[in-house]
Amino acid sequence: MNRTPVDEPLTASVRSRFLASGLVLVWLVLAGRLVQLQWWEQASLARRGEDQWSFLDEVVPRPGDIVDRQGRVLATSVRVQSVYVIPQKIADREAIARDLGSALQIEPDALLKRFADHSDKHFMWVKRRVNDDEAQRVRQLKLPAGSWGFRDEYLRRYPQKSLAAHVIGLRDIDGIGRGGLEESCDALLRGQPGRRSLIRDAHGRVIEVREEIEEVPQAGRNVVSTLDTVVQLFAEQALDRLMEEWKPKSCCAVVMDPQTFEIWGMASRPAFDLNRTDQVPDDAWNNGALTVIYEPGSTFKPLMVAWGLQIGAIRQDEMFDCEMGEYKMGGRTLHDHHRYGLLSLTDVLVNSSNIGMAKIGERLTNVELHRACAAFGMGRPTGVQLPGELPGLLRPLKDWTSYSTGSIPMGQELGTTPMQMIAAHSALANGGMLMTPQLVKADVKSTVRWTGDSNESSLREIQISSHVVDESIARWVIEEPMFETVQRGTGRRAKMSDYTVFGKTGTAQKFDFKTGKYSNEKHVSSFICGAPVSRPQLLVLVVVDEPSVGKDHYGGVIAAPAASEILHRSLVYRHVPVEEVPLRSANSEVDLGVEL
Amino acid sequence: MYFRFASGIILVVLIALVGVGLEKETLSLRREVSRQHFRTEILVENKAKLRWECEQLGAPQRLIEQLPPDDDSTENISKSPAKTKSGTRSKSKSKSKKTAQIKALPLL
Repeated sequence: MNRTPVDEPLTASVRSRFLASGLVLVWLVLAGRLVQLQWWEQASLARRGEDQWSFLDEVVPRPGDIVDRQGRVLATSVRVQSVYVIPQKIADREAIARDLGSALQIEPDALLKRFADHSDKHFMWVKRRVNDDEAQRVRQLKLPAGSWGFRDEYLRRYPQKSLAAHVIGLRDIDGIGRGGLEESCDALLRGQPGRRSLIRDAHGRVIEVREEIEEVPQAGRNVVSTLDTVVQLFAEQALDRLMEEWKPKSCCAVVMDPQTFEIWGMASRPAFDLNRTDQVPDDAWNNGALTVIYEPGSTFKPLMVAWGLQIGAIRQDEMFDCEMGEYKMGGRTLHDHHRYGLLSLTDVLVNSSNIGMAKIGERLTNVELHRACAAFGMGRPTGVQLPGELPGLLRPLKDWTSYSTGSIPMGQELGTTPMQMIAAHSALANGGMLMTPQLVKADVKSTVRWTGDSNESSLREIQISSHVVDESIARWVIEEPMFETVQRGTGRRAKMSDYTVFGKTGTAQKFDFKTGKYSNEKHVSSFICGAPVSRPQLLVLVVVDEPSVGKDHYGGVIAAPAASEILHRSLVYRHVPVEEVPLRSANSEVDLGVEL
Repeated sequence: MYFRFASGIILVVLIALVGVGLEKETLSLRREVSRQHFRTEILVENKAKLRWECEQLGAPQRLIEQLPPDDDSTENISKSPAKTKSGTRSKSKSKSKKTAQIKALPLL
């Protein structure tokens, strides 16, 4: 088909229009893309670009210190360096393994194997928290740049060494609190990490550390403990002597101010040095005060007497027939260590008569005995600010039998922790108020020394308290039976010439799971005492598990001297005024040779 | 017109230069602040190390571990009367020891 002359210019015009439209369209597309890149995607693309040449490095915050109530440092941190390599960028693995091995005292073959195992990785620790000499030796090696480096880390140091090891706890290699206050106050101690910007080249090598910090790290807060290092030391020294003399399986001591429930000392044996945790025996990790569950034995008796008086089941001036040492109760026969006839309520406790207590148990009945146990905090954790506290063992009332009526008032058939026992006795000592034991007094900024002003502290913990018995009843139990127990009863070895002491001994047979009976060989000996009687300032509990030297296993023989020593030294240290102590009390005609 | 154009350009350039100058000043101040942070960190670190050493040297464990426990102050009534008498004699000694301890402890 032939084209007409009219058609030709038309075609040319259409072509040029098409071309122009095409060009305009292309330009529009390019302009649109430009707007899209510069307008909508600008922020994300800029971020992507920046990520390629800069990155943020975390700046580790300084963990807070733990100090005692006088400001003595229990735990602090010093900055040290850790050595790392980038296995991907190591050219001569054998040479570097050999050099680093000799500088850091690591087996070169083991290091070489680690290099091989992590050959595709970007990061590998060689040795963490090296000392200054090791760091200097590594620097002198002049290893190829970009394949290794140092990182700052904090090393936890404990200037008091093994003192209060179980209470303070540890920080692990990653700086996370494990056990004790280090774990329970980890959120306060750890602080907030900061960030620093670094610039790197196309190969990923750091070429500049920007001086301006993106985010300043916030140091952890200092935690002020209620512990007093000197009182703690008294407790630890007494336990050391006790371990040497009686060679028990374990033992522990707690020192508490019954007015505030603040813990002044808490020690446990076996113990360990916090700065040398690689040599700790397995059984040394346990904090006996919180994790040992034992039958409290006679130390439980004053609590039941107080409850009996509270509900009116017994009277202070009442006499109890102790059946000359043998009493048939249901299907079993109870025995006393000595043959007692009529005993006053005070003497039931002073002589620690099981039969007298069983008769009190009959008056109370199982329902009230269970209420009493629960009221004094048995069967639940005390709430002290430490991890791993056990709740003890208080069976439900429905599982109790007629045996329980006789056993519970004697401190059997239930398991308590030393912390529960000292808390319950503190309630008696302060006039009947059971409170949450306190181990943390305050938390303050790392740069300031705590002056005692509660406004400086961010802690606003509510101390739960409950009224257990009336003040008059609590006072009577402390001033009469428990004071007499130390004056002329089973706790005579805790008597002091310059302070009026009240206390109660406890000797419990351990249950032997092999025979299914109470063992005659294994005992838990304990003693709880406090002073001065008029207004108790301190209470001390010592619990000794399975003393193994000699035939003595009585709390009055084994635990009382240690508890008394701790109490006396602590009272002198606290400048508690010396008192006039009566040589013999009014009821001291009977001086029995029992030391249960 | 050229004058107006030139003065416009000069104004823009001046504003830009002032802006650059201010930015540089801000940056140098930020760097100074960072340097101060680093210096503080070093001082805090030195303080921590000195405090640690100081606490180690002044630890009660180290200072009073050699003191004997004041056993004499607790009466042991299971002792024989003869021993009790000697115990009475030793009371004055124990009191002087106690007084010494009271004097020593506040220094810790």
